[in-house]
Amino acid sequence: MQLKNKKLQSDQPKSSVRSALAVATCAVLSGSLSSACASDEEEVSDLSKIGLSTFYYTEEERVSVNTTHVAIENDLGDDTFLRANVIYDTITGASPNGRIIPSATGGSSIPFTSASGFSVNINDNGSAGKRWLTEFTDKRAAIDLSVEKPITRNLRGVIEGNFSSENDFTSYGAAGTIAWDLHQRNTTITSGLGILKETVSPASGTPLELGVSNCNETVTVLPDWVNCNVTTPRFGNGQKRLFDGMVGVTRVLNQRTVTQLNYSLGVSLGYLTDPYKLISVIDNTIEGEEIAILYEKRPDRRTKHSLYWKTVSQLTDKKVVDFSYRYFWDDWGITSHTFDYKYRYDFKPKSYLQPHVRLNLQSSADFFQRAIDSSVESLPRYASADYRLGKLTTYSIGLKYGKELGVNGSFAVRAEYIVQSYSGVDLPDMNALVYQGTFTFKFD
Amino acid sequence: MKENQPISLERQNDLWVGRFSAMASPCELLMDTPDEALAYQLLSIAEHEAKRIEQKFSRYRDDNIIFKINNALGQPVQVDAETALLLDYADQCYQLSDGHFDITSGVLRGVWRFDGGNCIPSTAEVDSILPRVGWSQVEWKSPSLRMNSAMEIDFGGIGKEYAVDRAALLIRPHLQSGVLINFGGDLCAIGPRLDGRAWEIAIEDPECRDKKQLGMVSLKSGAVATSGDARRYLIKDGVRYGHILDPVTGWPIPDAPRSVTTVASTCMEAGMLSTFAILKGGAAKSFLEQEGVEFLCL
Amino acid sequence: MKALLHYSLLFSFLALSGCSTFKPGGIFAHEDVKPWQKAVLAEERMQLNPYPLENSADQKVFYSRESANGGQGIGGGGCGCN
Repeated sequence: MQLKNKKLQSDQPKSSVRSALAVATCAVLSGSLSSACASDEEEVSDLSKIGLSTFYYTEEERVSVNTTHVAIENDLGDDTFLRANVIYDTITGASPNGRIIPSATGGSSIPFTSASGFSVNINDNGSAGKRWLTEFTDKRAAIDLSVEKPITRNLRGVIEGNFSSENDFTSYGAAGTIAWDLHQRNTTITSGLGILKETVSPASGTPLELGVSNCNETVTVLPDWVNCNVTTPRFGNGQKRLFDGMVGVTRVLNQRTVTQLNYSLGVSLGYLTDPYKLISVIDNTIEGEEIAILYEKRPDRRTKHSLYWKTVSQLTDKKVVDFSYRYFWDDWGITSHTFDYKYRYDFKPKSYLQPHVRLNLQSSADFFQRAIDSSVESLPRYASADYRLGKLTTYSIGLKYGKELGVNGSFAVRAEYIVQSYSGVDLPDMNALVYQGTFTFKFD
Repeated sequence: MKENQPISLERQNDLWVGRFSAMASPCELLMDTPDEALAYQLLSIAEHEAKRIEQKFSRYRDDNIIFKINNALGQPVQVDAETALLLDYADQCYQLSDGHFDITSGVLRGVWRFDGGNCIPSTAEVDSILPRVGWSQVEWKSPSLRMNSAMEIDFGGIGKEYAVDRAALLIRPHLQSGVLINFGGDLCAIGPRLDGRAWEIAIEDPECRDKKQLGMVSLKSGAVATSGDARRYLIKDGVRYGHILDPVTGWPIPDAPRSVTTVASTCMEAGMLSTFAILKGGAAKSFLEQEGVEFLCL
Repeated sequence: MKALLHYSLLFSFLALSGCSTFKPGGIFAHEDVKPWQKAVLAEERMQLNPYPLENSADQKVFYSRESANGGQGIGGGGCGCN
């Protein structure tokens, strides 16, 4: 959500003394050939904005996403704004599903359709030759609407409603934020609350967590907690409720620098498992071969915290730096440090270049494990092999070029290169490229 | 008299800022243009006009029309076109304010000295001066003005705002946008900044500070003026006497707000509205609200 | 160990951008800013979220590839990002 700087309130009809005075003043000044008299009410800045973006994201051998985003901001006067965002994504490709990647030893890359017997199951639709990836295509539409209004002279509020829908997922929610200005607007305290309801609805329902997805039929010895003879039951849609709260302080440090520190708390309840993610059961007595595939299971609640600190500072007329650090921790054992740094350099005519680097270091969730060892006595309480819950490092480096078009328009293009590498996990690095073009335009 | 600040022009924060002293105030001109020569030209125009108006209408000089009028010893004086327009304006303001705005009220200065001290005049002293105040006693029919020899006129309540509007007028043919004129707190914006941004103006006001509020005006064109007695007042027996005197009673306006800042299309209009507001005393706020005026610090 | 290397690299990067000190003139130098001194801070490139279209796209990318998210504010919807 965005909150703007405050301006004056007015907007009432002119009355008798004032009109008479305006006429009188006009007479004095037009006696001197003034054109000032002709002008109407003094103008206060009130342009509306529209932003358009086209975005393309592609991972090497994995997922590609194409997104179109339209953002509109309508200035309704009196410091009231109406904002809307409409976003449409198409996603295709294949994502790691959590299964282990077969090693190349012994030349036995187990082909998917071979007689080694992995039966085709409605859920097991891995790409040819790459069973640790699951293909999918999806289309997503999302919309959010928000209204920002002043409450008192130094208090502003924003209310927002959002909705998004994909083939197998819908979410809707609402949020509200207030901002309180102090110290001649050098300090702003912001506070917000949000709720979100998400529903995941896979084609054939959500599977029993840690239930069997598939078994390697060539294997005779299976742990007793793997029952290959019974079809794993499937249930209805998975529902999740999220509650978020945030408190932040923004402070103007000097004429060129502003800094912000936010603390956020989020609680998620409900079906937090990913119904498409799997976890392999491996037998270390036969070189870690996959003997069964189970559905993952995550706890039904998660509490997240983050501390986010951002500073924007103008070093010179042409140079602006924007850097932030976020420390994240939750009750799943995940902690993360994220550093982001942008350096904007302006040059004539009204253009700029902005290199960008980002680094994210994440530790793994307590229940993250690459695979379940068949020799354990019983199933773990929770288990997930989703690489996103594992220990990983994401590096990004990018460059953006922007230019103003006249007084009311601007465009920008950027490209970023992202590399994500995983620790202690056999998954190869993910390489991705981002291309984005944006165009913004202000109008009355 | 204030020591004259030499005229200066410097580049600050992407703007040309010109400064000079006139009408006992620090004056500045902010210009959003890359052209230094143009900036200097506009600065000269503004400075010359401000000095011209000061020279012509200052009551401290002995070589202008004001001196002539104030020392006419009861004889009629013929005034030029510009002075006539201002006198017409003063006359209209007198009517619109029901006699509370009066350019002949300057003589009350003789008994009221606003120096922060505690010397207030006695009723008798004020009563002795009061007969010398009253625009209704002045015979004004353009272009001839005649008044009693004991009376004086003073354009102090109009002069600075008029200078701002005049400077704007003369600058406009050269640059239609990106200029902000500031004569000691009376402002006029000729168009927004070059990239369309409005001028962000803050009103430094003891009234605002006391209330821990801040007035911010975002101006693309138009004017801002402040009336008030921040620095000129008297305190006696715990009562604060502001320097805006009511010409009808000879005493300060009771319950007058300490200062009022208003926004209007021209500086003269903004200035007069803020003056009218203060003259309303406790009813200042409702007056401004009723008139639909954008105001601050009340 | 690797993490330590990452941290030091990033911090030195920041330091190299110059003047990240508390001395007058530095990024974090503290001064009482009057409202008429806020022309620079009002510029679009000085806002806390100056490029919302890019920011929104990045948030989605990182939401679907990492477990840590948010921190900047409240709002925006969910996504089933796979």
